[in-house]
Amino acid sequence: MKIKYVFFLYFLICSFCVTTVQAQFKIDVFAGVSSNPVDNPPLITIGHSPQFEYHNFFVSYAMDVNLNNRDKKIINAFSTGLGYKFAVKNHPLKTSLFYCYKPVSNILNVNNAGLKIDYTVRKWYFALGNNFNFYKFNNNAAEIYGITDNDVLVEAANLMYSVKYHLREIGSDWNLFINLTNFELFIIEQETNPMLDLGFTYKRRENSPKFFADLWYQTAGFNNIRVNYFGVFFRTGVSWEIK
Amino acid sequence: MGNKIKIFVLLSLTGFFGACEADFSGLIRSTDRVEKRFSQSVDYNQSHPYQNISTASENYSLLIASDLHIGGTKNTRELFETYESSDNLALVLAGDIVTGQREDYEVFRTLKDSVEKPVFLITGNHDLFFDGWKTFYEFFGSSTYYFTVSTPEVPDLYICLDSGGGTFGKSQIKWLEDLLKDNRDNYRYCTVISHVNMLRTRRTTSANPLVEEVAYLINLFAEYKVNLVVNGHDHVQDAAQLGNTTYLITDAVVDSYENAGYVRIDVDATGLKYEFKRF
Repeated sequence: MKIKYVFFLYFLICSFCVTTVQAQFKIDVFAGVSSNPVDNPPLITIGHSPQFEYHNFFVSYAMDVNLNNRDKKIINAFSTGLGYKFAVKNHPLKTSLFYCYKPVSNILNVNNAGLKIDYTVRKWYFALGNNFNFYKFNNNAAEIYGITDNDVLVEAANLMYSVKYHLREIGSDWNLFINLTNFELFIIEQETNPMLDLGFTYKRRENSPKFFADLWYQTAGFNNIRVNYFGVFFRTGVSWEIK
Repeated sequence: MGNKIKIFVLLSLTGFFGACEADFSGLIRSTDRVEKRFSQSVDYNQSHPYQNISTASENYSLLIASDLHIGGTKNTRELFETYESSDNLALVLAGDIVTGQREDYEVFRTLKDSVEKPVFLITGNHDLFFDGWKTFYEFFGSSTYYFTVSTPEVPDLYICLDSGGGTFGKSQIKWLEDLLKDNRDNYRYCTVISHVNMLRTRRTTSANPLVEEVAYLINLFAEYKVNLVVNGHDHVQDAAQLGNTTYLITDAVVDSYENAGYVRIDVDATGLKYEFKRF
């Protein structure tokens, strides 16, 4: 219950920021489907992610809700971040702190907190960061299963990385990209479990909304030298930027 | 000068890959994926009933070891001798018994055949190198099954899972879920054993199952009151408590490892207790 109040307060602060400063605003609206051994049948979600920018500061959140498999959870994931943007050799370098909350069921959730640096140069996007993954049993777990002690476990620090290559200059009206990474908006895998992301973007005019589509391929056991297919997920949506 | 460096690097890499006991083709593909291995394990289980070990005492113990990596057999022999001369009811070897080579499997089979008490085996990622699953299956059969220990009062359940590919796979997870749903209430304690460590409590270069799968299993273990989860893979002992489930990682048995060891599980009416043992 407390978490709902925190979310509400957060949205209120974000809304206040938007109305009181001349912020740049961007919103992504998307839908996705994922299939893997535990999202079975495939999980279908819809979500949105507003991002506000004022001078060099930025703040964002993203939320995804389940359209099916809603018996155990309705919110698929929620993430938020805030950061500061520099210019290094005329290219943007963003540093940010983030937090991601992902319910597993009505008794358990997975949380991630960390920091990352993003750098964009012409056709390339690089990201490097570090995060902590922790599992947390909630109050339902105490009531239903008597889990009152040892309800949190924090895992070892985890490296985050992304190397993304675009076929054309970033910002082009259409583009194709390939991305080798261990994280995306709502999932942060262990550093030794890389994912492959193939994507496409298109916008009709300079100021028109941008359509995007990403296909993610997940593997298990790469660093065990026994790579196995794990799952795929697909996300598509529209990104609208107001300058 | 540049060419000399290139030749040196090329020779070094050739030497490295040639000398390694690893099947680097596994970086891009796997023969005998988890769904196929599970399907074969189920076939094997149909003609080989799950074992029950009976004991006249309410208190008993068993041993769980992992990462033998035969080649060397010194520690494995010592483990088998300790087990045979003790009153431990069972020995579970939780993967990475060999590095996939048939000749190593043959060495291990000879050693195992000398042990008269029950020895339960599970595959690890190294056992699958060089098409190793085929030899494992030919020699030992299933890598997904359960066994039970019956005391005069109550039975306990031990579930062995195949995580050698870094994922448990859809069918095996469904099998586990059904097993717990249908049978958990018939047993006092429940222990799950597999190779790849689920929790990543220290930073290592090895791969654990993906976060989605780990979270799902942690939730399942909480719902069905799994008491203990034992893994190997990491080679370094660890114990963590999350909710009502204890998660253990055993030391490796491999000869070259300075702190080689295994874990003993003592069971009585008050619960499951563990003790890490060193060679």
